[in-house]
Amino acid sequence: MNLFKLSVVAAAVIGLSACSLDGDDGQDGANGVDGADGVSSLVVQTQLAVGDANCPNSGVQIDSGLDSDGDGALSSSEISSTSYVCVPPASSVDSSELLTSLNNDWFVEAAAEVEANKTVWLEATGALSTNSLNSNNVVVTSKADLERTVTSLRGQAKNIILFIGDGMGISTVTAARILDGQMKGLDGEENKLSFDQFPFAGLSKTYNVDAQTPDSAGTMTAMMSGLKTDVGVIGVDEDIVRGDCSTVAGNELVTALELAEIAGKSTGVIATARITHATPAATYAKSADRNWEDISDMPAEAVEAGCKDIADQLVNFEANLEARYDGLDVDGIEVVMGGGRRHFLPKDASFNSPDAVSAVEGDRTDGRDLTAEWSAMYTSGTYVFDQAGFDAIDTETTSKVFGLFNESHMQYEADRANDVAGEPSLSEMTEKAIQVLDNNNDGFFLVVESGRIDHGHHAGSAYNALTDTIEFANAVAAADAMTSDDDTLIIVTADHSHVFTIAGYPKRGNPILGKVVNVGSDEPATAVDDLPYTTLGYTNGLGFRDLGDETDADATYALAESTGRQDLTDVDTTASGYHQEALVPLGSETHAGEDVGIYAKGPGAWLVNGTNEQSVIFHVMDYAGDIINQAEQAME
Amino acid sequence: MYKALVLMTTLGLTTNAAIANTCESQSATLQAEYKIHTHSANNDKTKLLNLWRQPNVVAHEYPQTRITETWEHVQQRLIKPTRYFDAHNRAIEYQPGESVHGKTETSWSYRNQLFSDSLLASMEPGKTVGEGCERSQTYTLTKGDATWTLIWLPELHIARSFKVLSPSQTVEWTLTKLSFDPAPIDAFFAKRFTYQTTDFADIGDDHTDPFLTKMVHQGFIEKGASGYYNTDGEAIGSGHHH
Repeated sequence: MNLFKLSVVAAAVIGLSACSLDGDDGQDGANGVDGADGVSSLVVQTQLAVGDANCPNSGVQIDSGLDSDGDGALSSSEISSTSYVCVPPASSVDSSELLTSLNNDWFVEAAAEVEANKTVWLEATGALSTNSLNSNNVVVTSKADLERTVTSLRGQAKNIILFIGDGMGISTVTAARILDGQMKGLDGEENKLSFDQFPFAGLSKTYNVDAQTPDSAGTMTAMMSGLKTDVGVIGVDEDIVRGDCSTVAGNELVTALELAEIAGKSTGVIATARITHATPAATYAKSADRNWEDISDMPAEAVEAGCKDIADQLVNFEANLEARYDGLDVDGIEVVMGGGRRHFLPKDASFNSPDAVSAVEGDRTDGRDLTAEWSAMYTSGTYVFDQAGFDAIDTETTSKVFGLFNESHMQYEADRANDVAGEPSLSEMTEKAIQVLDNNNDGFFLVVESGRIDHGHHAGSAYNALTDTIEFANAVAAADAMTSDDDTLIIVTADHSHVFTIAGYPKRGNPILGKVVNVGSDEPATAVDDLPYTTLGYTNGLGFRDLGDETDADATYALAESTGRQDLTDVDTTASGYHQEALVPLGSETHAGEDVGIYAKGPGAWLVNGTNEQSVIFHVMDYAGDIINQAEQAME
Repeated sequence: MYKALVLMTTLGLTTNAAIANTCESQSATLQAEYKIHTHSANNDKTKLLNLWRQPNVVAHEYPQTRITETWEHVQQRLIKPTRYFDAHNRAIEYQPGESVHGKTETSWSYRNQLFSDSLLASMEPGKTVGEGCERSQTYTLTKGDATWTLIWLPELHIARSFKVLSPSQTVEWTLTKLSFDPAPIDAFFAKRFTYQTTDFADIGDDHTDPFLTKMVHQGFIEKGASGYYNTDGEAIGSGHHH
């Protein structure tokens, strides 16, 4: 209840003197006794919700009266007058129908969400004075004002974090949201992942210059460098010929991470995939082929022509960047964590890590130990390869962190407990990275990739893809909690989608990994072939597998294709080892070509809306962080 | 008399220990070549299988399909499979804990010996003949209408022969060659370690590689690798039968 004391009227009693008509005026008499204070007059306004008997469409009830008992409040017995100011009803809609809608929780919540969105927009664009998104207070009344506003908002993000869910299409987000909710005991559909709650979102068109359905190399290059390129190439433009080293020179692109590095920010890249895999590689490397992860992967002519493998480029990032610009002095990437140790070690068992899972862990045929080279280069940095080493990192004293936790990709989140020496989760790596990076007062630029969502889908395992997506959302939440919306732009997106569908007509709360049970039924629905079917499925791939409690999706590759309809009557499709049915038989499930979501919060996030070319993400980051200008200024 | 007995006992122990050490050393690095003949009313076929063994790594080479499968015993608790396509000098690596038969590998003895400890434990031990590393023991098992007979070399942890007799077919394994020469064994593994390898998880990311495109439809089909399955689709020699 809103209470407004509109006025307080003090009534004073004035003493009156007697008077004579004929005689002289007598002496003034003594002052009379002061009268008692009057009582306060109170007016109370009460907001009326939709559905109120007097104001069906909401309004205000105005009560007035005297505060007889002087307690400062207007009790019901003191009310002498009541009036209403009601929101007028919509004349063209039946009143009973209007009441039903307006009283509906979904309707009310949606309306409130619109109001919240309006506020967010005003705050984000500086039209509303607030300190929640930025500190501007600008009233836009003309185009010139608008341009000034846009200019003034540029560069407000000191920190930028780009989260990539590899292969995390819209259906993956939806299914993961439901699974996460159901794991929390909810129906699931109403649940929100961390980035579902971000105030701004848009769509990203993911195609490559030469491919309708893209791969991670071309898409991540678009996001990191601001232009689309060919499938399979890293950090180079479309003039490249894939696999031809001689076409690299002159076609190299500058990445957002490099710009941030030049601008003096701390930089980091972490991934659950090999750190030399396409997505993380596009932050720091230039390569005619995504597969050139170490020198043994390269054709001899490429090596002879001077092209460097991706692992080499990562370790020598600082020197390579400085070599491209006269007089440039940078300090290198502060945080690198992920898998892919094999690409940094010689093909020699004597270089095996204590937790090696192969007889010979390294793949390098040039005899170089890049982890040793890195350690020699950054003597105050910390190289780690297992959970214990990770836990021991002093984030406040170490200058750099280089973590390689697996020979190849890190484990699926569902398999992480099976690792030989233990691996940190994506959330743990994200937290650790920010703790190191935020030691720089000039801010930081961090890329975080959940690489195994993609692998789970390729293997046809929704379970692995979704549980990794949930952990990805946890990592986003961790980063959001550790940073401020005032100075940190967080963008969450995917590089591409997968042929992953949510189908049937399952009832609300039906287990997302389960068989379709229709609304009003407790038994699985059957198709025309009289067999039950699951909500989740794939358009292509290896198809049905019933591996029980197997949590490693890759196990499916060991078996023959088994696409098409299967009798699932006695199969527990919610088990971690279950692989969904697929229509078209392929050795591996494929990427899909539809748009993916972009979710954003923080300075500049309001630029994320509508349907965009994927390369726009670079430009949003540049606008928010002004990294091109800052880099240019740093080089002057 | 007493001294003589003590001396004899000591010598005996020493001799047994020495033999055991020698056998253990031999069993760790060896090559065993098997001929596997299957006979049924409508079919007669012979396949070859080479077992190559080094400490903590074992290979099953199938010369006819030109596929070699290896298993590494990691930290004495995990098993890491790799499949080598010898015709292409390429390999597919699986992470420890991944499966070749749709289930996680948990029986190192099955891969290392071809006949798992659990299978041996389920069979009836029979007569023992010979001595030293050549000592052999007969094991039998009746399973349904089939009779299994295994001649086992316990000191070397390999089979000398294996026979499954049933009304529908006869399967017979014969050890045709046994070698302890480390040079060819080293060379066998060293050659395969030079193959270009692809992580299992990366197969789906690259549709431009002709090898991967071809192999996902051929070599990854498990039954195409060995073909040594019984009528229930179970791998012969596995301890999973019971």
